[in-house]
Amino acid sequence: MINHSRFTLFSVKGGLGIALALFSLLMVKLTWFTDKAMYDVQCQASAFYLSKQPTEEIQHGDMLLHLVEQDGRLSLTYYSAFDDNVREYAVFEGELLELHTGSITYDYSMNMIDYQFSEVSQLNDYLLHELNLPSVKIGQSFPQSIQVLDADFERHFLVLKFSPSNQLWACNLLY
Amino acid sequence: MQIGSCWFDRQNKQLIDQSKDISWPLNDQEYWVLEQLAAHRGQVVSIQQLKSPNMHRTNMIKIVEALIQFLGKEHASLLEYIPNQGVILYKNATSQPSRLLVSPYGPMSYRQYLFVIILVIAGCVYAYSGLSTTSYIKADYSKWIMSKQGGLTELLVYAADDEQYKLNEKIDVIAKHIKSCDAVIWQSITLALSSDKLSFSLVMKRQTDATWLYHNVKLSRAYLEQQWLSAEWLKEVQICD
Repeated sequence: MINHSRFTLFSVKGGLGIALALFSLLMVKLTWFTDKAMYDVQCQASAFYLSKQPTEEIQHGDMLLHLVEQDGRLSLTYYSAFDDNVREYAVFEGELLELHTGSITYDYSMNMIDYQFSEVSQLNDYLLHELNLPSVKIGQSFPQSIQVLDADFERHFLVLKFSPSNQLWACNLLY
Repeated sequence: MQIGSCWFDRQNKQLIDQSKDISWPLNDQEYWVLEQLAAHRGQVVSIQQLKSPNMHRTNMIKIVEALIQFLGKEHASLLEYIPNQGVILYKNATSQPSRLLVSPYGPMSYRQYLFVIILVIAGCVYAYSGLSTTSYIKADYSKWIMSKQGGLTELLVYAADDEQYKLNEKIDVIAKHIKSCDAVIWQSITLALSSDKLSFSLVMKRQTDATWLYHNVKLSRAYLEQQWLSAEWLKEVQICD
């Protein structure tokens, strides 16, 4: 039967239209996710440190990471508390260099802008690992990639992976 | 009467394609349909009017279809079937720019063709710019672990290098320790090792209706030989319940 005036779902052009619509939806979703104007993320961890002294017990403390990303600018603030009276912190800022949409990985150029370390600093040692640095100095520029491994915006939950150190943080999305 | 490149020879009841020099001797029903259309050229002829007394509707549509085919691609647009209304034989071939989405076989103008090509290229460039450096988020190692109480937990590992064969052995030891837990409340435990193997981070998580329950653990050691894995430590970091 002749039917020249209907745009059927199973026609070649119908399929093309549906494929185009799906592709556009996927791109919009990806763009929305990666273009989210602001992330305000807080992550808390139990930290354990095995010192060089074999007789010493495993030291146990708490760490907090506050991450804020807005319009390509990233701020990382680390807090640590190992001993009762010792509170340490370090603040880093960075700019987005590249965003890999497919793997949801953000490449930044970072700088340390402020810190407070104790004489024997666990936070300093931790940051050397996490940020893959030979030493921590103010004004020192270094690359850092952050990949979103898992995200559930409804439940305000994110899992991030720092590269090249390969460190994970499960976090609470505040905003 | 001239219809596209065909001549409708009423006298001999045939349709002659002058460009191909072929003729189609029309039977009574075919002649009736074409005669009706030619007589009302430029107007929609209803299906009722097109059917001769003994002609079935399906036959009539088949005849129209055959006529369109005989007119050839170039002049096919002269004859159009309009569902539930009838058939029209146009006086002149009409160009219909809106036909891109009207018919699966409809012609496409250069402008539409160019638009589709530009759209495809732009889509490819956009996708390539984002996907060119992708790495899969898949873990390097994954294993389901059953605790003594029968609960299942997935152990996922992200390695910093490609020494998978060395990693497997270490992960098996960790998995064995977790297996010995009486109960594990977590749906998954994700472990990431640093490239110097001196530090690692653990993420344990469990989904509830309202939220995700999770716990981060960081461990750093001064040198590789330092032992840290024990049943007590697994309890302390809440891997074992």
